[in-house]
Parts: sequence; C-alpha cells; structure tokens
Amino acid sequence: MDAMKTRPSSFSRNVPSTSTPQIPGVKTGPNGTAFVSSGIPDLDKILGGGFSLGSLVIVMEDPEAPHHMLLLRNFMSQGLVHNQPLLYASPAKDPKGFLGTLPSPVSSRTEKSPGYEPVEDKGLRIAWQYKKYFHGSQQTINNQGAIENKHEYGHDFDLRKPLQRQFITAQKVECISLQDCPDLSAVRDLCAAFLAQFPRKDGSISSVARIAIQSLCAPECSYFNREWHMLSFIKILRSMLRSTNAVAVVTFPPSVLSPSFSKRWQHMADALLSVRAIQDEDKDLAKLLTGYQDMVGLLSIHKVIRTNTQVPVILEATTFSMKLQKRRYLALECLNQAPVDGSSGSLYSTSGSCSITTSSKPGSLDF
Amino acid sequence: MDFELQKRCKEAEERITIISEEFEQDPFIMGVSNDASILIRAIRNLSKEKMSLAMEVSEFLQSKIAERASAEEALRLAMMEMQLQIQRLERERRRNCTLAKIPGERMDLRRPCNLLDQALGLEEHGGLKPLAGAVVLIEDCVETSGAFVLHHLIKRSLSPSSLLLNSSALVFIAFSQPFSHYDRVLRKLGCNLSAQRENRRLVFFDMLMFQCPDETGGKAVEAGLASLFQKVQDAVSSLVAEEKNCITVVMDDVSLMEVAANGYSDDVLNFMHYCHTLTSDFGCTLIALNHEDIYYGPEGSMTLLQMEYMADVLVRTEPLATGSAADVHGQLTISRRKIPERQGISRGRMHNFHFRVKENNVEYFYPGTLS
Repeated sequence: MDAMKTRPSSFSRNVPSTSTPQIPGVKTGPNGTAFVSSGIPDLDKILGGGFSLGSLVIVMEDPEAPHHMLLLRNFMSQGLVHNQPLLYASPAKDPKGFLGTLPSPVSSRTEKSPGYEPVEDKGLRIAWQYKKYFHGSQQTINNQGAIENKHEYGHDFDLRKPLQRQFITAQKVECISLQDCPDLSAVRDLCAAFLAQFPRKDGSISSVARIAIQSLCAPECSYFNREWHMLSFIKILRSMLRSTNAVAVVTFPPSVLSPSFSKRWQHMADALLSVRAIQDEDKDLAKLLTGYQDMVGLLSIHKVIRTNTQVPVILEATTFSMKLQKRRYLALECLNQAPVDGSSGSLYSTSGSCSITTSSKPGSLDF
Repeated sequence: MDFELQKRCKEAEERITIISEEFEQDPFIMGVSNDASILIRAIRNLSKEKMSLAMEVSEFLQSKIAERASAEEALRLAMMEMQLQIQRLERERRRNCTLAKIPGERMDLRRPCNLLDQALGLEEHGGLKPLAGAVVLIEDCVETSGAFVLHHLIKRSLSPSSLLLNSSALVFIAFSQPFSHYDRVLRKLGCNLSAQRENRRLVFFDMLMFQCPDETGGKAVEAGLASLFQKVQDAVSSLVAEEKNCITVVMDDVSLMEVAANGYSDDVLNFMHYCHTLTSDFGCTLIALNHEDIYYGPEGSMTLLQMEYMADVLVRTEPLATGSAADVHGQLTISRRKIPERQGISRGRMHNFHFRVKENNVEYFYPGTLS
C-alpha cells in the first residue's frame, strides 16, 4: 500500500467517493478495486486495506494447531455483522455448529483503550505535547463508533463472547459439509449458484458475499486422492470470483499434499497467508522474542493481492505474531527481538538463528 | 527601380522643355528659313526624335512587363513557402494529437532501450520482426511473478516500429486473469487493449472458465484442447488474411491449462507443439508463461524440460537470494538459444540482471548499479 502511495501513476483513476454508494463494510481501494475487512483490523492494515472483492485468499494451515480457525472465525463474523451473505464449507460433520463459535463484535474501542493508556502515560514523556492531539483523535473515533457503528469498516472481535443469534439467523448463511460430498462438483455448483446472486456491474456495488472453506483437502473427504479434481475446483472458484463481488477464504493443510501440488495451490492464490503455532516450551524462541508469553502463533504473508496492477507489494515484515490481547482480541504485531546481553557478534548470530526459526516450517516460503 | 524611373521621368521632362524651346527658336517654324536643305534636316531630326521616343516607350513598356513578371514570380515563391509552412504545422499538430491519444506511440518515438529488450534481441535487425518464429517461455515462482515480462512483450508486439504498425496483431489465450485486469495493467503501460480489440488487432480468448469434463477421461481433454487449438488457428489464419503478418500468440498460464486439462500434461504438451507449428507456418511469435517451482519433483519435471527444449528464449524471474526488498523486486535470467552466427555455429547467450516493477514501466539494472 505504501508502495502505491510513493509511486503514484499518472494513469491511476481517481475514483470519486460519491460514484459508489457506500455500503457498510466496503471501502474503495486503488486500481478500481474495493476492499472488505478480514475481521482483523491489524491484518487489514498490513494488507493495505483488506481483501479486495473478487479475489481468492488461501491460508496454509499448521498441521498441529487450529490457528487458521481464528482467521476464519473473524472473517465470517465480520461478514455477518455487515449483513453479507455467507457460504461456509467444512469437512466437519455438522458445519452449522461452527457458527456458534463465531466471535462477537466489540461495540466500540473504549473497552480496549484502558489497556493502552497507562503505557501511554509512561511512554509519552518525551512527546508530551502531542498527547492532547492523540486523545482528541481517539475521542472522535469513539464518537463515530458510537454514532454510526453500523458503518464501521472493520470491527474488533471478542473471541470469548459468541456472536448474537440475530446476526446468524438474520440473513442467508449456507453451510456445506465436505465430508458428505462424493466429489467437489456439487460444491462447485453450490458456489456457482451462490455467487450468481452477486454479479459485478460497473461502478456500483449493491451487495457483497463471503465464502469460507475450511480444510478443503482434508484427508477425511472422499475426493482427497483426486488432486487434479481439487485444483480444478479452486481454478473454477477463482474464475467465478473474478466476475463477482465476493471474497473467498480457503484454508488447506499443505503438509498432506505433495510439494508440487502445494505450489500449484499457492500459485492460484491472490493473497497467500500461512499460520504456525508456537510451542509452549520453546525456550530459545522465548529468549529471542519479546512478549513471547502472549503469542499464540505466527502469521506469515507470502502474497498480497495485486488485482489490476503489475507492481508487487513489498511489506516491511512478512511474519507477524498473533497475540490475544486481554485474552479476547486477536492482534498482530511485528516480531521484536528481545534485547540480548553481550557483544554485537552474538547479536548477529542470534538474529541469524531467529530468521532460520521463523522460516523453518515445511512447505512455507522463505522471504 | 523607383530611382531609375524618377530619373527617366526627369529626363523626359527636360526633353519636353528642350523641344518646346527648340520649337520656339526653330527657324523653319518661325518662317525665317526658306532653305530646303535646312527643312529636310529639320524633318530628319524630327523623325529621329520620334523614333527614339518610340524606342524609349517600348523599352519602358518592356521593363514594366519584366517588372510585373518578376513580382509575380516572387509572389508565387512566397505562396509556395507559405503552403509548406502550413503543411509542416499541420503535420506537427497531427503528431501531437496522436501522441496525446496513444502514449505508447510516444514511447516508440524515443524508444527506451532497456536491458530486457537488449537481452531479448528486440533491437536487432533494426527492430523489424525481432522475435518472428521464436518461442519465448517465461518461468516464474510464487515469490516473484513474471507477469510483467508478459505485459512488456504484449505492449511491444502491439506497438512495434511505425513500419509495422498495421501489420502486427496479437492472439491472447488467457487462463489466469480476465480481460479487465490486462486492460487496466496495459493501459498504465501505454497500450489500449480495448481499442486494439476493436481494431481487430487483438483476439482475446477468455479461458478462465474453460474446464475439460472430468468423468470421461483423456478423450474429452484431447477434444477440448483440439477445439481450442482450432479456434486459435482460425484466429491466426483470419488475421493473416487481413495482411497482418506479424502475429504474436500469448498464453498466460500453462500450469492452469494443465489444471483445466485435469492433469493430462501430455495433451497440454501436444497443444504447445501444435502452437509451435504456427510459428513456422505463419511466422508467429509464441509467448507462454509458466511456473517453474511447481515442477520440482520426479513427476512433473518432464513437462518443464520439454517446454524449455521448445523455447528459443527462456526468461526466468526469481526473488533475490537475500529476500525481497523495496527497491529490488527480483532478478531476471534470460537465455537465448539457437542464434545462428556467421560461421554457422549456434551459440547460447545468457543475461542476468535485477529489476524493479513500477506501474508504467520496469527498471532493469545490473546487480549493484542501482542509482
């Protein structure tokens, strides 16, 4: 996103904000794209606005931990809060049950701010004169949040509070169990019928839909050994999304696929993320990174959506730590190296080992 | 001229006065003389005078005519000059208009000769049909997309040197992105695909939803790809019939074609070979994009090797070994084969440099020379 700002092209179209009727949860982006929130405000910020409509987001799962579910839950909840229809497919026997675990949005950010403020009081001693501006801006955010809560783009979600029933029953939520399907053509037809309701017309966006598919190539599904069949399903899904106002998030465990097919999946993705768990007792990592106790996992971003442009987005950091603030809110933070005593030589060696440990996951990409 | 006329005018006046004086003093007129010889002399004088007068008048008239003719000549020259001036201005104005309309043409006038063009040999043979009959294979990986090379080649093939402006055409088989994406990307590069499509210089096959049926096995795949090739061949031959003899066939993702063919890679290779025949039959250029990293492993490497064997120019994009950076997006390796040298020995050439992709162009530079 920053890269777009620093290199503005004279050919980029200035989309006036009045041309598209602002519907809740949709934000116009560069190159004629529109964003919807991923449900994690930090991730939206990192990706430069969120997931753009018509794109396929693929999340590579950790085989040992269900961290991809955190991303999926927030993604689905965000859509439901904005009254966006949802199609959810999962290899579980009863996918509807998963809807009960969706997190609830926090009405405004005031609940979160007390956690920050004591730190600010201590830390802002040098720049004390800016504090009044800071408070002022925060006040306006709070006011807006209170007045037009419905028009907020991305919410914070309280992972401990379930989403109110009204959001789930209010609109169309379709659930599919992948285990029941003999092959993916049935799922493909369902997706096609679902997406046909949201065709993309020039200029105006009337409604937005979300598709969440969890563990598409899970071994318990009967089509598991038909790798080309799964690939062609993703290809068709991707092609269908291109002409609709919808976003799909598909998670898959790369470790059950052969490396070649895993790469093919990754090439299909418009945005490619991977999640990785952190072992509790990894003392080496605990020494290297600050705030290790609060981390629940690591999120890596391998590809950022580049619809209608050829410029790759280069992020400052590609690996972020997933933390649960106050055990409720999912937050992403850059990895911070813990201060190490000793000479600079040892510092160098630790940073080297740090980069190795962050990229040692099988099947993940080394940046 | 004026001065001479004035002098003559004065002379004439003087003569009038002299004549009038002579007239008064003339003995013959005064009736003083009665000598016949004097009379005859006077008459002779008079007629001489008359003759010189007539001569003078005719001379004057001639000079007048000559003057007029020369004035006419000068006027004609001035008019001609003005006409030329007007034509030149008109031409300049028209060129300015076209420049404003098609920024790509401006690129061509002061053609930026970058490292990629040099490495691909686009500047050889005076820029005329540089890649005719060649197969260009672009290979990329998940970390570094090679689509920008494809965009560059599309732009170059649609706006080549002005001599071939109307004889070049493009056949685009898109598996990866819809037309709107390419239209936007290439518009920023200065090439209007929508206009080219209306001018029948671009034939775009949207293959995003192309999928061979799964159940019936290899037969359906073969039939599907055969019908696709038939379409491509028809498009190419109809373009040739329109005297477009510099045709480029672009395939944007061969790996997606394999997916569409349900993994029957042999059929995809057959399709590629059939497309290869177009290069020899019609002098087409064939440009294909593929992903290199999906063929690591025992099962898939044959496809990649066969395609690399077919290629005359191989463009490979990779990330830097040290990771991605904001000012160096990756490195390009270009290998050209089968360049016939003078002695008849073919020699391969290898180029390696870094690049940085921007919206309206790509910067290429040798490692370490980024200013």
